[in-house]
Amino acid sequence: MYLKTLFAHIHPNPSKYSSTMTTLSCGHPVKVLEGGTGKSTNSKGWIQVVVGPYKGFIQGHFLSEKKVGCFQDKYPKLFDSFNLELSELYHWGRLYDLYSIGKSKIK
Amino acid sequence: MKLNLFIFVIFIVIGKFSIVSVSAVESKLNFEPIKDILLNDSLESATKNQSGQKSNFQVQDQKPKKDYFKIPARQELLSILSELWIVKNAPILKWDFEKPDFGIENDFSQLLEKMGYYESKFKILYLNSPTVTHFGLPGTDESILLISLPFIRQMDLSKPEIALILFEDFIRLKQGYTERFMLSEIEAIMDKSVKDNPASFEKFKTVLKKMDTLIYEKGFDFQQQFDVTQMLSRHLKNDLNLWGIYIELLKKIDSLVKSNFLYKDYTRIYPSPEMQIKWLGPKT
Repeated sequence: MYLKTLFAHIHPNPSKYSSTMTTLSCGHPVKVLEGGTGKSTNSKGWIQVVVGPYKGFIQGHFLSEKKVGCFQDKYPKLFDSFNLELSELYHWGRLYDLYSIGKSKIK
Repeated sequence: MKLNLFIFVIFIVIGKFSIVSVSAVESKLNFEPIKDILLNDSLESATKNQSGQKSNFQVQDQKPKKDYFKIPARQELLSILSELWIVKNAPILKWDFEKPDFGIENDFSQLLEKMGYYESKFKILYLNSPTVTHFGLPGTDESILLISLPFIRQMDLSKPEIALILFEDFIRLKQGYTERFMLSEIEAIMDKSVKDNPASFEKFKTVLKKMDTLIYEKGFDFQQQFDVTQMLSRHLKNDLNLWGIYIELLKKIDSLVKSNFLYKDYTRIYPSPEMQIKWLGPKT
């Protein structure tokens, strides 16, 4: 599977408050360890993955079966012009961890 | 020397003989009996396929090359700019902190459904700072709603009250005030290439500065605030319980901004809870 958000963190435990093992950028391939393709390992949507030397957890909705068109790749010059520092790349990944996401439904 | 000349003569003689012999054999060969086999050996179609592939490669070569200087269209740009601002302001907003799961998203989605806004996506981000009390930022197909936890705790807000604050920001986003303010500088270059003028990228710094001004200092004007209040009034009058909660919420905020120095700038951003209460009251 591939990362579809701009950035994301791999955590040692299935919790957004557990420490960060590494930060990935969009399009990075990850190997799903448990639960099969796209299936989460727990009810809160975390998936156990292997990325390079790291074995950890990531939120399932950050991943896609197919490689998506990433903003960084589509608009590289604009993205470079943002002059993101390392701490900002880290924060961008944290942002997706910390959003409380919702959607209203049709009755 | 003599030996070399001899070898040269031998090669000429052999070459002459072989040409003669091949042409002689060709003239004696009769292809007529195997004509059908030769016609049906698929070699012709294979050759056609090969030439087709060749032309495909030629077409691919002719495809326009990736434009590295392209600026995205409005919708794709909104989320990125909003999130870029949030990321660049992380040290001030203090949103990277551990907190309990409040479950506001369920209350807020129920409120949206009650008000007739279906299939509306939203992202809530809690701030551990009173600097920005609450603010809605536009996303690609969602609303990004910031809300301060110290602000919630200071007023001891209930879940329906928090949902109503978020709904107010949601309506402001629907009105497009923030979006228009953010994108006014880059309207002309959106969905275009700036290859001939790479300095245009500098305009994005101006966008971030404008967002600073809007969110920290300027906020919304009286007319915008009046329109938002009127829209909320129209929505909430259908549910008198919610209407009552909203009036009480405005009174709480009014009392806070008048008594707590930390929130004195609130009325610069949202002018003003006192006026909102008056606008919602009976017209004389």
